Amino acid sequence: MDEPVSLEELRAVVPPPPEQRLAPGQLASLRQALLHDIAGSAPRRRRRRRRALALVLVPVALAAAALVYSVTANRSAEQLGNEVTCFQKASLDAGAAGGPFSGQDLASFCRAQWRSGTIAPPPAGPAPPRWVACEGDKRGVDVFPSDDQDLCRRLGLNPVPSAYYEAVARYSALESDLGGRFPEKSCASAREARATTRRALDAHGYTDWTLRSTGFGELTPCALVPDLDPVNGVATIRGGVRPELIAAVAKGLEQASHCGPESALLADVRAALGAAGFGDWRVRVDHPLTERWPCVAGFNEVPAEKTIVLVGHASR
Amino acid sequence: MAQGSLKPVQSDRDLWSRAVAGESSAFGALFDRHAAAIYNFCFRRTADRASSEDLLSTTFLHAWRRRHDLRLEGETILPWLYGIAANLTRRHLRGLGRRRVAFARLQPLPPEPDPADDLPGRLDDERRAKEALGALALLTEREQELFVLCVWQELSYQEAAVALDIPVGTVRSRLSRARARLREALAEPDLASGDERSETIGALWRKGDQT
Repeated sequence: MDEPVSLEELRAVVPPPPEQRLAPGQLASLRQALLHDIAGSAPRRRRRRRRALALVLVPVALAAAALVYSVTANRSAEQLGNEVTCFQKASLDAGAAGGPFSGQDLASFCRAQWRSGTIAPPPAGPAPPRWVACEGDKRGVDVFPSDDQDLCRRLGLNPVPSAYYEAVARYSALESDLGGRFPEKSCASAREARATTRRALDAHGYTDWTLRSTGFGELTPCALVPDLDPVNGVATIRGGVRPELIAAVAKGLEQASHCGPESALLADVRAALGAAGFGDWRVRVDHPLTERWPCVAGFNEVPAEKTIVLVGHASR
Repeated sequence: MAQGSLKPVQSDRDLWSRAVAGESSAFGALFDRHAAAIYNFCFRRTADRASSEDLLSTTFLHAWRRRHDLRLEGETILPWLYGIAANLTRRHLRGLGRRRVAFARLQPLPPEPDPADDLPGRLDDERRAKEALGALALLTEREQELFVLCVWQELSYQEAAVALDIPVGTVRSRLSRARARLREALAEPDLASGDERSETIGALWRKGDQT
């Protein structure tokens, strides 16, 4: 039996080195680089908000607000899904960032986006306390820092319906459930995936949704987590590469600690691919590795070219 | 609709579930919350601030990449982050020489000046950290790791067990062995004197430095 150890005694024997603090500028810089890398290393996440449509809406909203209103007026809370975009200013052409919203509080969600620097790095002062939420241009919800109750109408958008929070919680539950039914290490065929998706939709009350499947082939036989289109009530199941391929690339990257030199990094990934039976796939890095950024953050697969592209600037 | 509620204090669990769903801002909030602890751990294992910055970034990048692997059981993500940082730091310390050679071939970027840089202070901190690490040089690598987590970072046995993925009993026995070695090496009755202790630690550091 081991004698009980007094941590205080050990601390007295070998006192800890002085506490270190990173300068705020260093910390902000590391954080910004991290978030940048994360944004560039989410290859199979499909959450990026399209900003082009929002930008186009500016002249449209000014010149033909009535038309825009007619396009968006009849959307139900159910059709808004859970995509939320937070804007830097009360304007559709302002910087914006967003993500999936699970239904707690839109203002808190956008203040967190603001503080994280993803809306406009670095954050321009403290996060605004008040926000106005409107229906998004095509889907989801757009949220602006403002206390102008008439803002949505002025921007040519509808206010968010009162049933939104309840609807978004249900939608988020569906999305989470679907994610659990398609684990990354399994390979469901298109047929299996359709059955699984239908069961999930039914379980959450989305019985009238339509299923579509696309992109399945010799190199992409495994279903990805379905894309959901709440506006039209459609779940689309896409074919993806085999999980063994993903695992092999991850193993190769792990072998190289995700870091260069480039030739060694590529060699490790190729060796892992070869050992897993994917020796005919090519590998490349999409940017030069440097001393400041000697590592990659992730990868994308391009099945049409049988190529793995290593992406993202990462430090050691 | 306007929202003006006070900012709620969000738990690691809540932030983590949002990060797993792909919300990078939630992950950024976790970085804000835990970066200092992870950075200090890395510094106390390496005695090198530049390496610690890199290890901090890499720890969070690995955490992001592996976010689907973690089923958060406690209320804080910190032990899991410590586990990643411990693995990376171990790898860093083992591969230090090899990587220095490899990266000599890469073109260096000009150094970025940091107005907060205090070179004498930094060097002094690094020297003191090296001395402290030197005192631990007679411990095995795993014992050193555990010592830093439990004694210097003040994790509970349970948290350290989660971090290092070992049973709590192993935490206790490793710490017990570590203490026995330190006692043996440091002749405990004399440790009450700070001067003598410094001298002893310095001697051990020189010993560790040569290995």
